[in-house]
Amino acid sequence: MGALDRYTGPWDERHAGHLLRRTTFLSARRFVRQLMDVGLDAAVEQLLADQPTPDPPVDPATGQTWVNNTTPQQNDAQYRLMVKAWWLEQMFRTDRLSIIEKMTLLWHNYFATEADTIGDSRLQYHHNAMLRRYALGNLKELTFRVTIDPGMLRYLNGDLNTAQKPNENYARELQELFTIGKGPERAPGDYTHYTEHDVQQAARVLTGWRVLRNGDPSTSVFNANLHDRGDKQFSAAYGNRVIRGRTGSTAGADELTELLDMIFSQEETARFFVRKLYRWFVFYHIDERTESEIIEPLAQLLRQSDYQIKPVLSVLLKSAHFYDDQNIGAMIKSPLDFIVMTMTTAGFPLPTNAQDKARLLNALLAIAAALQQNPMDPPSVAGWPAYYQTPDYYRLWINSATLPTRYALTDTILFGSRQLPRSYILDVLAFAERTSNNPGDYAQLIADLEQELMPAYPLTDEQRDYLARSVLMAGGQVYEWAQIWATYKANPTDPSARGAAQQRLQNLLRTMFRMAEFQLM
Amino acid sequence: MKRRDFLKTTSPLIALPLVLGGFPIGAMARSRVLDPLWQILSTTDRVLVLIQLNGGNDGINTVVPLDQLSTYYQVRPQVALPESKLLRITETAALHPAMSSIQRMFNDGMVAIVQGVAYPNTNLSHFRSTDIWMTASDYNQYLSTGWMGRYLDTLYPNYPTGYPNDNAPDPPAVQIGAVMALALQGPLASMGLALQDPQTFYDIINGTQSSITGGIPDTRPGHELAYLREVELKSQQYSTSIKEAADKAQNKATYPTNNTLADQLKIVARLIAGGLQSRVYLVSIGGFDTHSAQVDTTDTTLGTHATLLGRLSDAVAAFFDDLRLLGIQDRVVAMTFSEFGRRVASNASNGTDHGTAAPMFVFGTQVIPGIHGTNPSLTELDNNGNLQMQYDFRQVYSSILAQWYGADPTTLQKVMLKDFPTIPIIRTSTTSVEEPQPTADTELGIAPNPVAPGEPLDLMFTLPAAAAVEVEFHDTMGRLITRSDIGYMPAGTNRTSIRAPHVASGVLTCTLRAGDSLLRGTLIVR
Repeated sequence: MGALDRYTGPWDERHAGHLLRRTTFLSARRFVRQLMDVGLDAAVEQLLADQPTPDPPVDPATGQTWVNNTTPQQNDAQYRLMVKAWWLEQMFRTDRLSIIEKMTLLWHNYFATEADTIGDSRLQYHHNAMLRRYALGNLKELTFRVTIDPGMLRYLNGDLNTAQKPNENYARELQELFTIGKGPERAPGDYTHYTEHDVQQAARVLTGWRVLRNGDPSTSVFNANLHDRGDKQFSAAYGNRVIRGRTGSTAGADELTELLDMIFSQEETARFFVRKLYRWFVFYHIDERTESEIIEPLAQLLRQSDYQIKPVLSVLLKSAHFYDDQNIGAMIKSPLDFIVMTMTTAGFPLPTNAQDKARLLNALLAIAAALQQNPMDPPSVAGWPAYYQTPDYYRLWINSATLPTRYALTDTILFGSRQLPRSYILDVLAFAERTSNNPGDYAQLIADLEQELMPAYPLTDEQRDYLARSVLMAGGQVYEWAQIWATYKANPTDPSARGAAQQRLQNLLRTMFRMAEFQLM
Repeated sequence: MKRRDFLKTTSPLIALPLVLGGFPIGAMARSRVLDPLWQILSTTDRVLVLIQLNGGNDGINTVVPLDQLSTYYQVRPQVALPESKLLRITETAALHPAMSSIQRMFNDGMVAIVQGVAYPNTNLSHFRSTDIWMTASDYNQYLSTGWMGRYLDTLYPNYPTGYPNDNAPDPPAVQIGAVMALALQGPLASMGLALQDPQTFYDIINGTQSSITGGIPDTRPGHELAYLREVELKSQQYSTSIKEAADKAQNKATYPTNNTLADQLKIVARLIAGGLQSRVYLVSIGGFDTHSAQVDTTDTTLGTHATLLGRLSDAVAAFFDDLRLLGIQDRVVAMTFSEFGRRVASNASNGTDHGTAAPMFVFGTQVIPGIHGTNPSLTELDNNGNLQMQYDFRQVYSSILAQWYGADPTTLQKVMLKDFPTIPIIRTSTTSVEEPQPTADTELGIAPNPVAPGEPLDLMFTLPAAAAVEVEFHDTMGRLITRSDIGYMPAGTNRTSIRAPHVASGVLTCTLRAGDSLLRGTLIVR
């Protein structure tokens, strides 16, 4: 059986949960069951379905959105934060199970920009709106849109690139990071798939695009007078292709189309993207076998479907390889996975009051930044190192500074702290009842909590036993738990009965949240 | 660049690495000036602070070549600094106007500048070039370990297995921040511990129960789990000693505010002064990728680059001021690095694009002060309009390892993967390195010397007062080989018998501690 053949094993919580965690920011059992109940094919179809564009963020001062204003905001920094909060809110959505937010984040990591550098919340919003509009569409079309997107033009200085003063910044990243990728450096300036000369020629093709400070913030404009009208001769890496210089108002778009046709006709471009897709959804290590059995066939499929993304995602997410035991639980949660999965599993709804919601989302954004994943402000144009830095990849999320910060968040939802509003302290008694049919049975309770909190990596019996004896009962007799729970249920308002059960559950959850298994998905 | 040019531009300053095997050992032991062993004890106290300038620092506007000012104003009109504002440090070189604090340190003899540092075929991608600087690889070589990680691996073999222990109670390296640098990556694990603030680090970590382990299978998820457990374990093990060190010392200098680099260096000063035995600290400051708005449109002495260099300059000066007040300034050397310099010509956006060579700064009382190398030529450029290289950055690394840490040629070869000619950046003779002075009049007598491994050995020494005596042997890398308690010995002349350590033939230092007395001798094992 081929690795990309449809998965035929059991469609149970383990496998449906794996699909859920890798394609959304959710992990709770109630969502796992939704995917399990409809079966593999329908689950993937549902996740890949097109989604309507969400409403844009609203300025609390006016009750209106500002993102289409024709002039920049005063004090724009606070609006940049509002766009981030708006996006985080989308990740929190539980009203539909969709891959759209993970795909939008994938594109943000792939065509990375930094809001701080773009320096205009309107452009920052429209960049994200553009990414999600094309997120499940066509890679070539998306690349075209990204290239002339105002936020990207500003971020990589494309708006400063003119015939008289070429700026190579975007032309370089377009090839190094966004399409074909760097091969081995065969000679100085020759990166196998393209050369320094090709960077210069592509920069000439890309001359003339401007971002107007005042005007429609969703589009750039092309100024033919600033465009390099000469022919652009590419190197042997691109078959010595010549892009004919053009004049007139469509010169920029026409030459760009030709440039992308040239780059996307190279087989390496499809491979480069599929590797990134694989590292995003499956695992970071790509050995020779993965290269030949997964990457190459998916790259062929991508080319056959003229760079439509959905067919590739569909095959990958239904494949036997995706559900291989080696891949389930082998990914360390990214900070955004960690935050949104933890909060939604704890069952905290987002506040309906705009002010409270903003306060919560801003607090969570600060934690995400401390955990080294500040959405819309990745460290560089290469995105987050967890997706490209060999040999550690996802492990880079975890070090002696970030792991304690993860603990601090889970401690906060158990005990409270200044990090989050007080309404985000978990009612552990209610949580135990929601999570387990029989919370008075310690073994059942721990098994159910495990299934809810760390389903990707099963605990050993020894660990479960430790949790019962040494943590829940702190060295006491485990059978006493049934009595403690029964006493609480009989007198739910009695402070000492309630406190006895609550304190034991808090200790148990604190320890479980700090277990390494909780970091895996 | 051509090999011939390389030799031409560097030859006056090249010093061959000290080749231990090339000298008769007996002669070396008598000549302290040549004797790298003399530094051994003090090298274990020596600390290196790496300051990463993220984004590619514009070297030409950092150290401005006064001998080529007309070219300078011609090729980079948008960003060139006015002559009247430049901070002159030599006849031919001046610092950026924002660097007055570093100018002051330079005048105090605490700054060495190495000109024109790069590597052949500089890669103009931030990521790749940063990796090359971190791993000390060739431009076309991909390494997964960092240069400092490989060096620390020689001092802490098999790390993290078996650490912390009595001889190595603290993490080999500490990074202030939350992203672990590739430079500290060792063969098995990162040699560094990342933290943002010692107290918070301790408070959070303190509540973890690590007793839940369970077997880890040899699978992908199992490997990730093992990694997580290792980070958890190391964090717990080191959190106490780091907090203790931080609590033990207080900063004595006033650091600039709104300066993230100063905030980081402040923590480093406390940890060193508090006795943390980490050998390397890594701090960083970002924003040097000045494609646009490097300078203010109306005043080129202002703008992004000026702000960043001002922060660097003020933070480093405050740090060394603090170290001096804390009495530890001779134990610390700091060094800047950045993935590349910037293009000679400025661009139309008041900025500069990615370039090649740039100066590196080495700070401290133990540096050989001044400028190493010559001003880069602004006219003899490579094909891409970039500066020619004068020094390979790995020469600087090798020099630091050899001259500051006393790394021997074998170690250097292992860490740097090939021989790089060193540059005299750090003082190495006894006249310039402050040694802890023994209070006893006589030196440590050792007989027989040379000795065979494990054979009886007599130590002869004089004590000013009765004291408990302890003897240690270190190898040439400063690694502790054995430690033994001799017991209580009376005042006056003593003779005691011990056994020579069981080591392969080589040179060891023998250190005898008794109360306030410290005696030292060199032992050759046959």
